[in-house]
Formats: sequence, structure tokens, C-alpha cells
Amino acid sequence: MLVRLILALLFVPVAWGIQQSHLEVRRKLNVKVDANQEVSLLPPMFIQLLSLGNDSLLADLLWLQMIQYYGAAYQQNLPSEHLYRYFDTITSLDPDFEASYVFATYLLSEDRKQTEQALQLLKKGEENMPSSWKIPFQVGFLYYLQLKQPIKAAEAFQRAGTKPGAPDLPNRLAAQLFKKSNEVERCQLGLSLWKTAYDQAPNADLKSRAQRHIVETRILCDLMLLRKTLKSVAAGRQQQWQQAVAIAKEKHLPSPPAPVQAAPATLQDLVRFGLLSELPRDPFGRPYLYRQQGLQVLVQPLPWKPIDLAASDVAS
Amino acid sequence: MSLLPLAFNTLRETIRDKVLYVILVFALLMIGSGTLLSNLSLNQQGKVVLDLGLSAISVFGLIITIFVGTNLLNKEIDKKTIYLILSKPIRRSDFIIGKFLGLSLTLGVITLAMSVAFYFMLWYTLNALGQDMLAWVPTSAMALGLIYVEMLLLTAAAIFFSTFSTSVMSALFTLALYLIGHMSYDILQFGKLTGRPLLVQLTQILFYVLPDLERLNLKNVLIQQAVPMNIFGSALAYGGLYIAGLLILSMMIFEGKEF
Repeated sequence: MLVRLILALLFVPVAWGIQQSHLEVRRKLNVKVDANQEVSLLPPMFIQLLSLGNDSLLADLLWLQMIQYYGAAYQQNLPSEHLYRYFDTITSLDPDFEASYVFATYLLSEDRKQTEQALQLLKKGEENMPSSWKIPFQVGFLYYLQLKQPIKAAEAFQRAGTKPGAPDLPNRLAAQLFKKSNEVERCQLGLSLWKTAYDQAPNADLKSRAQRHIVETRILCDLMLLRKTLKSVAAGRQQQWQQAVAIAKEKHLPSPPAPVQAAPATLQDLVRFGLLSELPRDPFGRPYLYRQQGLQVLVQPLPWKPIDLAASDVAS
Repeated sequence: MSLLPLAFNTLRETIRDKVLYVILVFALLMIGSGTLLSNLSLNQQGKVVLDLGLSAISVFGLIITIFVGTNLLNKEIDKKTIYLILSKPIRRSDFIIGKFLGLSLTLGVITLAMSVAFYFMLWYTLNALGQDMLAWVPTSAMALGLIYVEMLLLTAAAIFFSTFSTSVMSALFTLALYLIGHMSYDILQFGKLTGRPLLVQLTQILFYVLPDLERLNLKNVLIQQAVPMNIFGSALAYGGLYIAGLLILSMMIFEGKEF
């Protein structure tokens, strides 16, 4: 009995001593390791094969690991070299992991400037989750903010707006961006998107704002059309004069005088020349104002402060 | 009518096994650990709890199936209780079906217990996030249903292997069937990749003979989207076909077995 008691009493200090030496060894072994060197990822196909049907769970575990890896690399101020591989593997294991595609956009493109890889993942996401609106929405942001391509961004936003359950925001953004492209066809597309946004608006305030956007975008489309037609007339006249000058030069005749005004005198001329079937009027039924000098076409003042129209579009 | 007493007796017998409870406790701990992991998951709490829960039920279900299923017949033979049973007016085929039904009941009770824990963890996690659990219930219930069918198929396989081999060998065969079952489609694809006609035919035969357990594994897709009832129904029928086939084979072997 006494021997047992002595052994029991001895056990405590011995255990404490061993634990202390173990901790000491751990401290010495715990040298800071490069976060990138710690990663060893098998190709997705192998992981899938070995998952035995638990692909989704493995995707979750890799997701957790990726968060730790990104954090460690960030703390060590190292480039996260394996980030794309992580996201690619996660989305191969669980193609419906929507958050992974969205999160990849932020980490890869904004933080690590790996925009091409982020786009690649989002493309994969659009293929795997054709009904998701969030993925094309991210594509839109990527094109707009990182790649500075507003038309491609607008197309992506437009795609997002057609998906089930999408809010009206993608359509609004697409409409805004199409308007900036300064092309009549795209402006018309923007107008139709605003109409969709109006139909989908969940409350009266958003509906009223969408309505103003519809009015202003329609005006903008009219202004674009009129300006484009006026420019084509002016350019045609200029071209005619240049051809006449060339002929005169060839025949050693005196050059004809340059046209005083290449631009048409009135907007009505555009109808007279057969370029337009009729002159558009603004949504309030008022004619557009035309100043021959500088080919300016303006809309009469609106009952509200313009949102989409520039100050130079509105007559003072 | 000897089926029901046999089935309930088997249920009573397996439920008494303490190791079963140890495995069950581990399964519940695993399901519960989803909450801890989900805290690190950047707004993916629901998904992590769901995936971990379903996979834990599936893996621990497999362990229990192998542990209980492969022991059942051999225990009767080793303890000589089989003589007592077969000396009564019980057909040998009834004995096999009765054992299978009893094990199915045991697995049903265990799956139910794990499912309750799983749904409780899911509710706890989603409730803390202010999300509704109801949207996840129908799809996850379908996944659980198919996990149970997979367990039944493996039980039938375990019984089948037990009719002609020892407990250890039966356990190994059942585990191998589980592994190959989850890879059978990949094996078929690899066969095609080789381009050698003999290998292609061989892998095709393997694919048709062995159960494709991935057909019963819809948990990866069920989580995000509802699976149409016809796919779910055909998976049930597919599982049922193999269960029936394995039980018929077991009965045939057991009929001719001499003790």
C-alpha cells in the first residue's frame, strides 16, 4: 500500500517534468514556416476519387484550410501562390459552392491582382451554376472595377439581371453602363433594362427613381440619335467638298470655297433629307432644341434635377 | 410469420451491444463538432454543419453496418445458437430475411438518433444566424433517406459475405465493396481511357455487377438544389434491386450450407 502511494506521489512530479521538457521541445520546433511551403494540394481529380462521395465535406474542409492559409500568408506578407489552386479544387469538389466563386473574386482580383484567374473561376461558376445571379454580377464588377471595360461589365450585369431571384440592381447597373457607351443601340438596351428595373422595383421610391431613369435614358437615346445623324450630314458635306477640291486640283481649277456651314440649318432638315422618318420629341412631348454652332442638341429643362443627363445636355 | 420475432430478437440483440453506443457517441460528437468548425467558415456555417453532419452519419453508419452486420451470422454459428433456431419450424430463407429486417430496424433507430442530433445542430446554427431551417429540411431528408438505403445495401452485402466467410473476411469484403462502390463509375471511365477493348469490357462488367454507390449518394447535390422525385425514386429502386439480389444470393448459399 505504501509503495503504491509513493509511486502515485512520484507520478505527479515526473509527469510535470516530462510535460515541461515536451513543451520546451515544441517551442524549439515551432519555427515560423513559410505559409506557401506548407501547402500540398493533390489534383482535384485525385481528391474526388479518394473522397468516397464526401466531396462537399472535403470542399468545406479545404475552404477552412484556405482561410487559414490566406491569413497566414497575409500575416507573413507573402503572395498567396496557391490561392487559385485552392479555389479551383474547392469548386471542382463542390461545383455549387457559390460563396467560393464570389469570395475568389475579392481575394484573387482585388487583393492579389490575379484578375485573369478570378475571371476563369467565375466562368467556371457560370457554367456550373447557370441559375446564379451573383456570379455574373461579380463578373460585371470585375470587368468594371479591375479591367475597366464598362460594356463587358454591362453585359455581365445584364446577364445577372435575367437570372431567377435577381434583384433589380444588376439591371440598373447595366442600364447605367450601357448609357455611357455613347451608342444608340446600347442606349436602347439600357432603356429596356430600366423598364425591367421599374417592373421589378420592390417599393414606390425605387419605382419612381426607375421612372426618372427611364425618362432621362429615353432623352439621352434621342439626343444620341440626333447628334449622330447631324454629324453624318456634316461629315458628308465635308467629304463632298474635299472631293470637289481634289477634282479641281486635278483639273487645275480654282478650289471651291469651303462650306460656310457643314451642319444642317434645322433639325427638320434631317427629315427632309430622308435621314429620319420623323423628329423625336422628349417624353413630355416637347421638341428638342438645336444650335447649329457646335451641332448642339439639347432637351428643355426637366421638372427635376437630372440624374443621367449631363448639364450640357439640358438647355438653360 | 417467423420473420417478425426473428427481426425483433435481432434488434434486441444488437441494441444490447455496448460498442454500438460508443460508436454512436463518436458520431454525435462528430456531428456536434460542425458548430465549432462552422465558426471559422466565413458565413458558411449552415453548409459546414450540413455537410459534416451528413458525412458523419454516412461514415459512422458504415462502421456500424460493418461492425454489426458481419458479426451477426457468425456469432450465431460460433455460439451454436443457430442449431436451436434452425431446429424450429423456421425456413433458412426466413432466418436470413429476419436477420436483415432486425439489422435494418437497428440501423433505422441509430440513423434516427443521429438525424435528430443533426437537425438539432442545424437548427441551433441557423437559428443563431436568424435563418430558416425549413428550406434545408426536405433536401437533407432525401439525402438521409438515401444514406439509410446505402446502409441497408451494405447490410445485405455483409450478410451475403457472412454466409461463406469469417467475420473478419466479411468485414473486409464489405469495406472493399463500399470503396469500389463509390469508385465504380471512375473505374468505368478509367477503363474507357485506356482504349483497350478487353479492359473496357472488363470495367463495364464490373460496373454492371457491382453497385454504383454514388447513385445513392446525392448529399453533394441535395444541399444546394432539390433533386427531382424521379431521380430520388430511381435511386431508391436501384438500391432496392441490389438489396434484393444480395439477399436472394445469401438465401441460396445459406440453404445449401451444412453446419
